[in-house]
Amino acid sequence: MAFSGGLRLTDLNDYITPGQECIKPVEVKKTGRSDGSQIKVGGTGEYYEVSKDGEETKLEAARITLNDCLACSGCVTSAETVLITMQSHHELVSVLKDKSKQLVVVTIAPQTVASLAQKYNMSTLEVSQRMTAILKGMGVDHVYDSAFARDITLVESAREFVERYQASKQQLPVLASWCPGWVCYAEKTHAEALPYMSTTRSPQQAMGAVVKNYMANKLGIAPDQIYHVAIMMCYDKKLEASRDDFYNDVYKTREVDCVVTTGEFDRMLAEQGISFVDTTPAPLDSLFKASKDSTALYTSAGTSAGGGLEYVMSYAARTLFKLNISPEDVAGAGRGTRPHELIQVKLVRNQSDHREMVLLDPETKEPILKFATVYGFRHLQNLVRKLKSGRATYHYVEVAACPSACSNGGGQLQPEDPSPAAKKQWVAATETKYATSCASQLPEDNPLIKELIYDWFGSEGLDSPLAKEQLHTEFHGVVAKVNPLGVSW
Amino acid sequence: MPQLRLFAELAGHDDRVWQVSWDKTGTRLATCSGDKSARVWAPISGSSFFEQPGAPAPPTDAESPTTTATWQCLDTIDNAHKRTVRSVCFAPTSSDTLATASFDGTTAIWAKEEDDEYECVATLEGHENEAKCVAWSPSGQLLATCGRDKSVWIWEASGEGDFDCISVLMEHTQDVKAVVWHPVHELLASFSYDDTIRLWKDDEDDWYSAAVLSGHTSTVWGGAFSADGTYLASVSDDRTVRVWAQEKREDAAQNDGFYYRPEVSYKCVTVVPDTVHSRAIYSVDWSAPVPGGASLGFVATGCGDNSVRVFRAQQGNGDSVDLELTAETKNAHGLSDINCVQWNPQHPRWLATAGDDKVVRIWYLDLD
Repeated sequence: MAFSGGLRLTDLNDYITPGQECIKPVEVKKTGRSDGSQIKVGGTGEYYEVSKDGEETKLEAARITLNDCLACSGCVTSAETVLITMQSHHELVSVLKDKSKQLVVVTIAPQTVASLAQKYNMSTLEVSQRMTAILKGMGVDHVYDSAFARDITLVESAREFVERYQASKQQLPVLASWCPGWVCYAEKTHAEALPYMSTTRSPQQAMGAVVKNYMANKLGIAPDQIYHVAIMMCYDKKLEASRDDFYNDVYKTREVDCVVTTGEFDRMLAEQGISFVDTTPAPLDSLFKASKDSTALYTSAGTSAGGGLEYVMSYAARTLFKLNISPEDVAGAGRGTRPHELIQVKLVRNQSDHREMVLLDPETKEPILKFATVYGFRHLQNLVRKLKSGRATYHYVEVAACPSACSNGGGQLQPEDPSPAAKKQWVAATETKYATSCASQLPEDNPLIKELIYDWFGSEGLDSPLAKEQLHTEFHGVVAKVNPLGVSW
Repeated sequence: MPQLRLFAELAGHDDRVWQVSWDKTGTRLATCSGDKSARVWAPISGSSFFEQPGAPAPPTDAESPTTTATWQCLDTIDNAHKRTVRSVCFAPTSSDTLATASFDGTTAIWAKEEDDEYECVATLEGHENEAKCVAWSPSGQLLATCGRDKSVWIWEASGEGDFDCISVLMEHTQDVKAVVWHPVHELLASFSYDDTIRLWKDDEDDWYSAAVLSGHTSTVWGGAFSADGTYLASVSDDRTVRVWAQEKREDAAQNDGFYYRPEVSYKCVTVVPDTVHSRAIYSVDWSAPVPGGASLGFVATGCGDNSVRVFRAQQGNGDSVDLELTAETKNAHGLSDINCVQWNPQHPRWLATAGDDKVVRIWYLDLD
């Protein structure tokens, strides 16, 4: 089990003295009484506070939930493994056997598809068709593509960027927030970065909203009757799915119920005795980023981080500076395969994981937009340091906790040869399968997207308050309490 | 009978002294302590102190030690760290720059102009909890830090006095106690509570673990390379000193393609048995060769049994190194642990030691 670098740095050992680091100490409301009170243990093991005049008030047990603990490093250690396994492929299998839910929907990530394509030496289309066949064969009702919802979030991210750019320099840089490893790390140790995070949801959670709100409405079923599974490239996505912000209080259901990693999916096939290679491919469902007749898959131009930077730069160039730059132009320049005269790419320290992408003014050749990609924990450190000292001169930064971004997610399939050289080659090949093995398609060119947006949000489309609510989220810095033991050495 | 003669005591810290670091000229000594400060000391007569140190001094009153009249405290740096300063290291290229690492998780870089005070020019954050050691590479361009969060961080000077993190290495499975650079190549050694030593190399700014040295049966507290880097001495909670040497590999020339990362192989060539030191050994340092004294230099150890020991290192049979116990000073810091021993890089046979008794002592290895 491997969390991204950002989360692994947390102190997961059993050496922490109890109470020293827990971010959830029991909060005691001050009652203002100074006459003291006693604690009494009731017959059934409950605790009561007995005031001086004999009045008994039942005390609440302290509760610590999965998301509190996993984002902190305090004390929960090996127990986390147990909690994480509650969100695994075993749960999916048992839900399908149980059949108590009306609808089971699975969303698959294109990075997962690329990883399977790399292992089984197939095209991404063949993989998607086989996954659809297998999951439907197990009883799943719909198999969707997170790249579909990603189109919506790409547009919304770009709109958010332009809005903040035009509003004030204080709101820049915009930091991409699709990577849950980065979000958890920032919330826990670098709360000063939170005001800069983009509030647009990640594709996984946008799909959660599509399935549990839009689709539920359309089909006339309650959201808690839908079981939504996402097959994703890392374990951090499980944390993201269990955030309170993505919990529907009214129906007591999560927008994404369960996240299964690529590796867990592959293991499930082995456990169920299903051969991926021998499966007959099935036609793709509607919410897939593919051609109308489903004979070709499309991708979003860009790296396996999702294409956010490429799309936002293109959109900003067109909207703010009237320059005709496409996301493919940005992606080609970034990859070094198709240099563009207006896009300057610099590899910081010769590392492709930390690129500076600068858009130049066609006349003066001066930089007008400074974007950057920051993949991997060590580059993330430098970004945070620059932010803290006010020296971050970027307008937009695409942040990912894993080097080489999501192709190298903690839950992706691994090569048989464990040597670092083989691993590097494997990741590079997966990235190629993801990024360049199919043609790219702009969100604007996907007719289903427009249809869905207006159907869901009404005539105001993405400007509507409902869109703002459904497509955006919040971040919460973890406040470390003062060391209650008062020990300092 | 060879012995260590005490020539100076430096008193002033209010808590145990954790580490000492000589500057490249050997005329400045930086110390750091549990009192959250670092201090810089110097002999009043400069380098001539080491030629004419005066008469050996008996240790002063343990209850209220005072600094020997021949030395002075030049600077006290006490305004950056919120907790114990666990490690201090002078920059190899300039005596006006030093780094401190603290239990508060930060590493601070200090620089001073001319006759001014040391100012904090950069604060390197990132360690999740206590930082245990900081070390500059011989070129002065790279800095390594390590900590209880099991990680080793490599930083590179980015020009404007600041540092950029270039690698976060998380392969140790427990607290990393110390980091030490090879004197010649860009190779880093780290020592850990997980009983192993790891050697790290870089592949175009991408640092990776090139070797794991196992053999110690308990926490490895620290280590030191011999002057030309051929050997690495390590000391441990298991009361042994081990010397490691690089093994020649026949297939070293094979380059396995674009992604090849050469590994190095070290083997243990000598072990000083656990009967010599009676408690955990916390510190070791390896001096330059002393003509007529020790062909491979002297190895000093600082131990939890309150003693400082000096071993003469000579070439043994084959690859091994003969470590012969030459001098032993019991209760070198009274009834206190010795936390650090460091040979003066410019004045052979002069040794600085730091102890839990809050005092730093300057000794000379008298071979007569």
